[in-house]
Formats: sequence, structure tokens, C-alpha cells
Amino acid sequence: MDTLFSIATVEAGIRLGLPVALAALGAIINERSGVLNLGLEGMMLSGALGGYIVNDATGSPWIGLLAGLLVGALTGGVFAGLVVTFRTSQVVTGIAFTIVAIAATTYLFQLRWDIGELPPRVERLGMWPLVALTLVCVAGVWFLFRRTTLGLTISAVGESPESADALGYNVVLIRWMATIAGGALAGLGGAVLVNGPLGLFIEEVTAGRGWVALALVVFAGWRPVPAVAGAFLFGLCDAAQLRLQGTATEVPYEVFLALPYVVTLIALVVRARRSHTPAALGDPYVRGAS
Amino acid sequence: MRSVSRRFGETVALDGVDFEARPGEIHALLGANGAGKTTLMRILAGLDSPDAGTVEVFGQRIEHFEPGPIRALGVALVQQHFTLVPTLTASENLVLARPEGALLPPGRTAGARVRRLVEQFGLEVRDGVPASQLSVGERQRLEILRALDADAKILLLDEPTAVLTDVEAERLLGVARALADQGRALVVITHRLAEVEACDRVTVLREGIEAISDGAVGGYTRADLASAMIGTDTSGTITARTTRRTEAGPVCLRVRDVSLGRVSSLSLDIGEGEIVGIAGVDGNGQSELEAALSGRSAAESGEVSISGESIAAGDPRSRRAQGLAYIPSDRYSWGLIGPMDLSDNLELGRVLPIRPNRPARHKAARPSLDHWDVRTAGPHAKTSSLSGGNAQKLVLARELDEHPSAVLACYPTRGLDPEAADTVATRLVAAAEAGCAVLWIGAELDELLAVSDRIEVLYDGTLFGPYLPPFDRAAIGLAMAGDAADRARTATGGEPGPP
Repeated sequence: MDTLFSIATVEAGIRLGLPVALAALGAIINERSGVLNLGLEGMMLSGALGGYIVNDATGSPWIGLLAGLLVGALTGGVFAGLVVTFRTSQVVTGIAFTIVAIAATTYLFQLRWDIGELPPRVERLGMWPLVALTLVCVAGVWFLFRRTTLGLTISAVGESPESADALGYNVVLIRWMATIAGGALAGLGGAVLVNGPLGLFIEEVTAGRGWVALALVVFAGWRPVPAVAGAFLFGLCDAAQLRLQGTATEVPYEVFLALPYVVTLIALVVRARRSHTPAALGDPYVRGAS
Repeated sequence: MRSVSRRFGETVALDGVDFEARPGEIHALLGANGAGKTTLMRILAGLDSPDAGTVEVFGQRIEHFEPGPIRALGVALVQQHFTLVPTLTASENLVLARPEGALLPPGRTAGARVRRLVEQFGLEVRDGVPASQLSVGERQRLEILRALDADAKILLLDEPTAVLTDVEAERLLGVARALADQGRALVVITHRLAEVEACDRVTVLREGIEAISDGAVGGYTRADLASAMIGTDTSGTITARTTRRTEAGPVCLRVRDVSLGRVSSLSLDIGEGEIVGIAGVDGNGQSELEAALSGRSAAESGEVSISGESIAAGDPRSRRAQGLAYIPSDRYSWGLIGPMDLSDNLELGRVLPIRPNRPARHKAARPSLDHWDVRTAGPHAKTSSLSGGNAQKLVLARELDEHPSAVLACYPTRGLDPEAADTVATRLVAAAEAGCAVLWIGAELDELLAVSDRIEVLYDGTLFGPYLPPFDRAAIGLAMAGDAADRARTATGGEPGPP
């Protein structure tokens, strides 16, 4: 058990928390504008693959991160087109989006590297640059919602789109921007996962971290700082379970695998009852419909 | 605005309306429900666009009806449904409406902006709490402050006093006068005569047409305005009853001191075989009365009884069991389930634990559908496929087939074509003649005049009446616009209505 409570565990926890934190920040921007993004997992995964391929091709993990960001923004744009402009059901579209993204990334990955072939490990970034990057993003999102007119506008659109519309704001445009920004951060999160702690891509590499990020957003009441704190709680549990798997106990290792998800779920149940959901979350906006 | 027209599907909301607001004046826009007042104002604010006609603001013709550019010209609409963002405080709402650059101002500066406006215009609003926690009056004042903050030159107030207490309403009209004196143009939408008297000019809309166009308020009596608002032609779409009861039978439906929301301590007796019409402009307590009597909401106090037997408050099931049938104002929300077929909807409320198979259910439904003249492809048709009239007849079939002893009919002919409306009215009259007590809450005075044995006017949660046949149309119209309430207040030595 000595290895469990060590600096190494904490460091691993931070590394594993970073992608979740970034995805959660993306989801916050998204959902504060009233767009429920159940495609987050898919956007992370797309960003992860984009980041991996570009890093492999260029040898630069930084360019890999940039690629993840752009791929994420692109997926966010596609999602915005569907749910904001064509007003498809946000729940169904989000889930379908994730399923398609899992299939598509697997397919694209296998086009490049045959099954059984060992995909190359790519150059990895150290922990501290990524921590710095994430902190910049947290500060940015915090600043956006606390101190800028744009952030206030995004919140207004998510709370009361008809009010924002009556004041002359373009609800559709703002939701588009928020969805693209959310996708970009989710994609960045995916790219951080493969260009940071892992250094390689495998099928479904995100392993539900997008869903965890979505739960954390609810847990954090759509506020960036608690969401990031929650992401590191998740990361710590994830790191702890990796350590615990290595120790000889009578508990089956599947229990440890489930640990981070269980802790997230409990935190969610305990905290979420008090949080305020953006009132228009999940509702497409049609002028004069309400 | 010149010859503005707007249709919604079959309904003509506005038919060639001219309207002018002048600086320094308060212009009252008077009309009953559905007269087109709100549509006219939404067009002027850019939230809707006219099918025909032109709108000019300070000589500039509006080509694209979008709220942003029209706001920039100085037009602000304070809607009945407030458009504040409920989670934001007063200062945040002001910043949202008129940002000062890309960064939010620090809390202190934003707070100072609210205080300055509050002092300047005398409209008190608390800052620092989310708008959702402000009182209705405060929210309205904040909406007005927000419009003034944007230096609105033309201020449109849609039923501003509907949600206010008398004192607040009076203060608001005082503020409106002060704003007009500063050279702004104000438009106040209302259905209250007392408020029209506080204005300079008046336009009366009736069914999308101007009954009085841009007249000086002083030139009209209350009776003129009331008759312009409700019309004088008595040719309603509904065939009038040939016989009326002169004496009501024993009391069947008894409402005692019922209070809920706007409705305060309302009492009413309806005899067997009697139709009592509740006239009044929407929003005077009709929806609360409907909710309390149907059992959708429990009344705050009071009692409803049927043939001497009290109905448990807020319990629709016992209400049904005791023989009070309910024809809801919104038949699609509270009356029918659209995706289910006709036979299923007919059975709602009396479904057996184990149901007969589908063909048997369909067969059982057929006589009832024929009897009530529900025109449809058959019992298997989806209820959502029915026209408004047939849907309403389906509700009648379900509610009246059980031979209730009383019927609560809320706007039973709303949205129906004349033929269907007439059928529905005839059926309700037939139910009354069979001994049923009918409470008919209606919006169209003509149909109430055609069917009722007695009319009561609901104004501001209180009943005024009774009015008995032969009905005095003008007197009922005045009561609907608040004249009877104003008189009652004066008589009891209370505060007169808003000046």
C-alpha cells in the first residue's frame, strides 16, 4: 500500500485528470449556452485520434494538440449545425454522434495501422506544460463567464433565449460559437490524453472520460473551478485504481476499475441536487414558439 | 404604422390597422382578448413582421423586422411575459441589454448604474438578487428601467398594470406621465377604462380592426369606449336560445368563498338546468377559477359542493365521481391525449383494469362518436388528427355521456369554426335543459348573451352581477372594463381607481 499514497500517485492523478478537466470546461461553455452536448465523448475521441496522427506525422506533440483542438472545433461545428440550425433532438443527436465517432475513429485508425500491428508510441509532453495549458483554459473560462460581456450573453442565451433574442442578440450564432468552442476544448482534452500521459492511441482510448466530464459539469453546477477540481478527483481515483490493480488483494481488479466512475457518480448525486441547470438546456430555440 | 395586416393561418389578427404614437403623449391601445393589440406591438418591436402595410419609426421605414435594429432606433417593448434573464441580477440584466465594451464593468460601477436610473426615474428596484426573486412589480420596473437605460424614445407597455396592485398601477401611470412629459412617446395596452382615462389618445381594436382610431381620450365616454371594445352587433355565430329559465331550479353547483391566486373569496350558486356565463377579459382570474373548480389546483380557501356534497379540494377523481364534468380551456393539454386513438380518449378516466381488445373497443366507441357527430376516419384515428371542432366534440362526448349533474365549460368554443361552435353550444344548452348546471367561462360576449340564463362579470378576481335577460350589453361591457369595480370602490369610500 506504500505505493498508493505517494507523490507518484498524485502526479499520475493530475495527468489523468487533465483531459477530463479540459473536456468539462468545453461542456460548460456548451451547456451554459443551452446546448446539451452528449457528443462530448465523441468529440474527445476525434480530437485524440487527430492529435495522435498529426503527432506521429510531424513528431511534434504541440502540433498534435493543435490538431486535436481543430478536429474538436470541427466536430463541434457539425454538432451545432445539427442541433442548433436544424434543431434535431439534442439527446439523440449527441448519443448518435458519440457512437459514430467511436466507429469512425476505429475505422480511420485501422486504415492506417492494421489490426495486430503495434502502432508507434509518439513523443509525449511532460506533465507541467499540460498543467499550465489547462490552468490557462480554466482561467480563461472563468474569466469568460465572470468578467466578459460575451460570457454574460452566453449565459443569457442558455437561461432565457427569448429574452436574449428580444434584446437583439443572435441566439443561433451564439450557440454555434459556444458549441464550436466546447468541441475545441473537448478535442484538446482528447489530444492531451494521447500526447500526454499515454503517448499512444487505441480504440476507444477515452474510455468514457467524456461522459465523466459531463457528469462533473452537473456536479460543479456549470462552474469551471469546481469542475476542474472534480476532474482531478476523478484522476486521483483513476491513478489509485491503477496502483491497486498492481497490489495483491482479494478484491477483484474490476472493482478498482470501476472506482473512479463510482466516486464520480456519488459526488454527482450528493452535489447535483443543489446546482442550477441552465433553464433552456436541451431546448432548441424558435422565435415566438413559447 | 400604416394599414398593417397580419394573419396566423386562418385567423386574421390585424386587418389594415393604422396607428400613430406621438412624442409627449400617452396613447392607450384598448381592446378585448384576441383584438390584435399584442400582435400590433410585437410588430412595432420587430418581434413579428406584418404581411402587409408599412411601419415607420421617426420617418425611417422599417424593411427588416428584427428586434436589434428597431431597438437601436429607440423602440422598447415591455412585454407581458417579462424578458429579464431570471438568474441575473438587476445590474447584470442592464449590462446584458447595453454592454459597456467586451469586459463586464466591476460590480460597483454596474450597481451605480442601477442606482442612478432608480433615482432618475423613481422606479425602485433591488439590485444584487436574481431577477427571479424580485416581485412582479419590481421586475416590471426593471424592464422599464432597462428600456429607459437604452434611451427609448418610444416605450410600448403591454398590459403593464395587469400584474400590479392598485397602488403600484397608479404609481406606474404617474411615471408614464412623467416620461411622456420628457418628450417620449408611450403606448399603453390595456383593457381597463380607468387607465384609458389617464392617457391622451386612444385607439380601440376589435377583432383586428380599429373601432376607434387615434381619438382624443376626452372625446369619448366610458360607454363609447366599452361598446367600441366589445362591439354592438349582436349577430353572434351561435344560435341564441329561444327559451330562458326565469327561475333557477334547486342549487346544484355551489361555490363558496373560493380563493386562488387572483381570485379572491368568490361565491356563486348555479341551479339545476341553469347556464351561468362568466364574462370578462382574460387574465382576470379565469384560469385560477378553472383550476380551482376542475380540481387541477387546490383552492387556497373556500369550498365547492355539488348537490350539497362537498368536493375534495384538488382532487379531480372525486370531482368526476361526484358528477362535475370538465371541458378544459386547453383541450389538447388537459382534455385529450393526441397520439392515442379516439376510442382510448373516450375511455380516459374510466378505463377498466383489463380492457377489451382493440376491435371491441373500437366498436363500443362508434355509437358515441356518431351521436356526438365527431367527424373522423373512425375510432382508430389518432386524436391529434382531429380538427379543433371535432376534438372538442370528442371531449363533450366523453364528459357529457356520463350524465353529469354539473358542467364546467371553459371557453368551449374557442378556436372552432362557426358551425362547430354552434354545435357545441347547442349540446351544452341541451345538457342544461336536461337538468345539468352549466358554468360557462367565455371570452366572447356574444356567445354568452346567446346561451346564458344569467351572466356574471369576472373582473380582477371578483364577480360583478348578476346580469339577467334581456341583457344590457353596454352595462356588461362597462363591467368587463372595470367600471363596476371602480364604482364599488368609490361607493365604499376606498381609493378610486388609477387617475
